Amino acid sequence: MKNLVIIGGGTAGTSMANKMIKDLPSDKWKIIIIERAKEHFYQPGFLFLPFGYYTRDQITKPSKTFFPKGAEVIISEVDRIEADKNLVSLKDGNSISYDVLLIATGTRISPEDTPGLKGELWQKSIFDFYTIEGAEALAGFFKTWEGGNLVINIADNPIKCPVAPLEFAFYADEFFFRKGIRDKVKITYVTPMSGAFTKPKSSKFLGSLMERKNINIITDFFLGEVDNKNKKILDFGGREVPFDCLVTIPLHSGDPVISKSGLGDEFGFVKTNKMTLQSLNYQNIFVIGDASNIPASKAGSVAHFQADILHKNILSFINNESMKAFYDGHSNCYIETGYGKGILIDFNYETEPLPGMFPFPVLGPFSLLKESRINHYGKLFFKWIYWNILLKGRWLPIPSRMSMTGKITD
Amino acid sequence: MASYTIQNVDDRQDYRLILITNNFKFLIIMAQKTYAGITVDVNEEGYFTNPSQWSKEIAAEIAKEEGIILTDKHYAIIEFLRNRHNSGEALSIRSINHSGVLDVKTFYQLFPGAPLKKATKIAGIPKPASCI
Repeated sequence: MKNLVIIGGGTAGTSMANKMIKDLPSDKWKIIIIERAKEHFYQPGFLFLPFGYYTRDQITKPSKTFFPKGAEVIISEVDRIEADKNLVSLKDGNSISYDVLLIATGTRISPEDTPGLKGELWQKSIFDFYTIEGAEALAGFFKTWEGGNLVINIADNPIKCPVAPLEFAFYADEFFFRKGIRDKVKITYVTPMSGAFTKPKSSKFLGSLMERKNINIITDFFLGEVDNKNKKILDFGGREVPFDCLVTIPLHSGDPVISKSGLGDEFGFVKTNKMTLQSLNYQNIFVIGDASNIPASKAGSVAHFQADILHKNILSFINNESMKAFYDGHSNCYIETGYGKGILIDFNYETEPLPGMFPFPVLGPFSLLKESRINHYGKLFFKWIYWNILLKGRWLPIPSRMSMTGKITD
Repeated sequence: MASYTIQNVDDRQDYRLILITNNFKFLIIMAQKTYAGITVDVNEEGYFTNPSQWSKEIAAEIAKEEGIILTDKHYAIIEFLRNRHNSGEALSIRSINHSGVLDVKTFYQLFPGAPLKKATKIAGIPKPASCI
């Protein structure tokens, strides 16, 4: 009996387990999932929580609901991966041997890496919305807040779901307008990038959208420290931005297990071949989702597309064949822009987000890089898709390789 | 007449074939600049398109354009940036803190304003694209 061990039962690990169990002969292979949490959060819902659009219960389900029957599930914490021995050691002292290991340990915020960020104002005037605790605390704060300087700051890239801070800004604009205090809330978006977003076309589009919504933008700002006493954020060069409420997207790191096991880069992300998604150090280790250091978005859609590639490559590896599937960096995300509208972007390593229709030319129904109501409904409907199709590793009518169909180039 | 360049994008499995016809090549080379008597290829923002054309003397002249006089400290971080670029690793402000050469605050003092943008330009490597 051989073991395929999956560390991490989040979006990436769960959908991979569901894909692999269909194709691995159960008399020869056992799938073992190691996960520490009993609850599975629909993470895109964290964006909605601070504004009271969702409650915790509406975005939470037990993790075990989604693991395939026939897989062994271990609820425990991993201490380290001993890759030279093909062994995963658990904190409870047990260890598990593997023939193939899939790392799906994700990423986490590390506010403690920025001086003053997790200081006395943490969860009093400084909030994150990348954790359930942060999002809930912010919801509580917004209920009674009467206005002032709302600063949304990205500490530095990479971050999970790079569009979420933008969506947060757009939602805040609408939320405070509906509350009747938009004139008392000054929204400032402070980013390390040189514009609203990274790539030229989408950055220009989103930048003008922010201008229309009266959201100020400060660019090229790399967060150095937070001055709790004077309620200011400072960049490394000493530039200051005052805040009354700071919504921070802190630095992100990989799981501590990765660094401890010697598999990561300086931020704890696993060194990974960006095409095959195999570890650069060990042939029988594969990496999916936010845990890798590849230059793609840390997002659920990326993990979903990667699952198709890994499914093929792991089967090839097991059968001693050369790997034929290559990940092209495909990413796809809805961006909520407020007032019941949204935009959609679709891109990969080489191609920046372009305007057009998706997935079909002319017919759409979703429009790329353009606001529409149907994009917003697409985002809302995605919650159902997430629980019922994506996590279960089922087929979706969107190819894992990006297509130029429907896209408009210059 | 067409010329072919095989670029090794990943040292393990993949080779990408890049086809550049001579006509097209003419279109994509944005500009040339002359530093220290040597003509180099740059893009529309002044970043090198061919890092091997770089030399320390050239660096000093680009730095002058940016209002910076290079010291040993500058050269140490430039060397770090070039090595990191050559090994295919992404550059970020965060990575400077892990460079072992200097901390970010000193980096800002050495290249005031937008240090990573300025330093990569002077180091003759592409402007770091923050990935999304």
